[in-house]
Amino acid sequence: MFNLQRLLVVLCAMSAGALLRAETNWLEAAKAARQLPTETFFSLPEVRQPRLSPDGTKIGFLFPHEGKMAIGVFDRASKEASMVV
Amino acid sequence: MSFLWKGDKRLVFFADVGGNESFFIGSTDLKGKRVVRIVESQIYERLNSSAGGMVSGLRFDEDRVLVSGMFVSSTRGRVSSGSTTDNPVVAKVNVKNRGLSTVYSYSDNEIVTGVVSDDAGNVRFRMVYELDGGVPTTVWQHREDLKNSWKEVRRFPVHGYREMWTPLNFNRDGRFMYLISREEHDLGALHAFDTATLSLGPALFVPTEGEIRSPIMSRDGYDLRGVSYETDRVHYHWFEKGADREKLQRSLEAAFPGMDVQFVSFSDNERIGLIHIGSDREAGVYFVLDRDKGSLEQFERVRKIDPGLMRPMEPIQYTSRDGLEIHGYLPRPWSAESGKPVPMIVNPHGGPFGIRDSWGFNPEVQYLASRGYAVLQINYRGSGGYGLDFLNRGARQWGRDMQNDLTDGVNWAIAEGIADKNRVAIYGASYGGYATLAGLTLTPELYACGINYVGASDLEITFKARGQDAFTLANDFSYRETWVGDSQEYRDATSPVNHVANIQVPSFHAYGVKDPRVVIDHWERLEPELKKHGKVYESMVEKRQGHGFRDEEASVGFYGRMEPFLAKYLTPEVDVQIGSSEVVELPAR
Repeated sequence: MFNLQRLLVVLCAMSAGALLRAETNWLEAAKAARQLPTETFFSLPEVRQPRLSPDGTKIGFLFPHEGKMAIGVFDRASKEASMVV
Repeated sequence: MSFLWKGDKRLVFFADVGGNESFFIGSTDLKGKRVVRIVESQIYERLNSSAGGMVSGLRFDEDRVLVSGMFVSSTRGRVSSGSTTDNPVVAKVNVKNRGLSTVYSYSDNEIVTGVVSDDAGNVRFRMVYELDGGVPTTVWQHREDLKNSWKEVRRFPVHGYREMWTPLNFNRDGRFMYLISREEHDLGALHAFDTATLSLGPALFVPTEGEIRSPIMSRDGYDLRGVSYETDRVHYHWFEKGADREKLQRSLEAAFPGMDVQFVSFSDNERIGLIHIGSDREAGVYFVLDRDKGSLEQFERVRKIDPGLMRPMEPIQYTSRDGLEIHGYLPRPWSAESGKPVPMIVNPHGGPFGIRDSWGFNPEVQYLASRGYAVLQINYRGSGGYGLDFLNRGARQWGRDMQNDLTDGVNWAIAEGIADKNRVAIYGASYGGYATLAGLTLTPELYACGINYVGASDLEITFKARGQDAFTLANDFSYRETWVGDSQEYRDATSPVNHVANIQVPSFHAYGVKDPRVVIDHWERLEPELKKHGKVYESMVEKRQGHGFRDEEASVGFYGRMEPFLAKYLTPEVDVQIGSSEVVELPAR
């Protein structure tokens, strides 16, 4: 149905961390987790509420801009994103 | 901030103004150059479910949306919601030039609490509020079109959190409306209502566990394909076995084992899909599925946090002192791998009524787990997701049965050997802040410290307040009488501000001055009591924030204050380092 190779690449990227941790001591994981800065958890998310345009060529989305969420649009063909408001 | 597409070249957006939950609806081209303010409201108190909001996006209308509000034409042609003189209307508003055409007018003779329109913008159902023999009642009325008069369909007592019917979508020919009914099933069931015969069809789906979340419709919104419902996790039920939509869901779930796969958006031809893949440990990645190309490409990741460092949200259940089955989640820190009890924070959700904690990435929970704490999330009675009876059992149980469920959960976690009984804290926001204060004042022996975030301290203030989500009708006292509790004695006994003397441990309090829900009066009543009784406390009061700090700086600042507070009063295991103790010289005898 979709490109399996691409899917596998993505999957590897997502699960690399988990595989790595399973082999290490929990104390090391605890230490690494503890060192994650507060901002990592509570800064505004990179993206929120993305929605496809009715024709499917663009994605509207919210992104952080000057401490608040702004609206952006991503053109799937040109791979360019720009701020709307 | 949120938005919807209006055609392929314009967006309609909703923006919060000034943190106090006032909003305006605007529209813009994709360059942000032609921005039109469509509707605004500066007066939160006057908004209720019937006034000030989007009724329908009118997805087949290129230029217009259906909006409800009190519209006033100003000299600049702007329409606004919030006039004190005009009656509210439902109107189609042109998003390019603000052209307004009223499709429904509210009148002074009746109180309409909601309307349901079809995609053409015809208001086909309305809910009229009546006192029926003294009982607040919702009367459902239907009309075929503007030429016909309203006909009563059903009447139900007002609930406030789960009305007897929840309207969903009309089917393709507009004859049937899908809805969730709670008339026959405590958990609710999906039905189709026949507008030709004004009768409710048989249940199409009844969950055996958990409540229905949403129907899965075709992109055009007319064909019912499935329904999602939620137990400890979200599940799907499909109406046409083996159909394309089910196969798509199943193949993606197989590709991302253990993760939640959610389609958030489709193109009109349903060939392009936007998918959210996330879990308790992965904040989520959005992918674009292109079925013509056969590709699945990453669009954006929500947060760059290594899921391998995060902790699983284990579903738990226990039995309360009065025999009720209580569900929740209990993510534990890495130090739990040692097998020893760990410090724990019980984190009651806000609401309290009809709200629940769900499985999925929760930054707050993972942050606390990363700092060495277990987090006990309890769907105490009064929560949503477990049926009407479970929800109703929370009524007038502030500081009583709803609080006992938290206490029972803490004692359960201690008895299970999960939590260290000397190191249990309570932290919550909104109702969770109330529960924190109730915990510190009514069960002070249980907790080592507490963090109250925008919490109610005085039920007297809560009792008198309007603007509580579902209850804004001036003459409807359901909220105070049915849900808070109308006995003075009970409110005195369960308002934490009256029992500050009982507090035995340090507390941290954070409030937003602009909060329209838990007004700052709660803190202004509480702080003098803390001072009077000489309690150890810290506080953070933000002038420009509301019900929860939304601005990044204030939000990060709050958690930045929380961390050292917890480290000081709820020492996490990992901080204990062998060999770092000092040699103390004892005086000779």
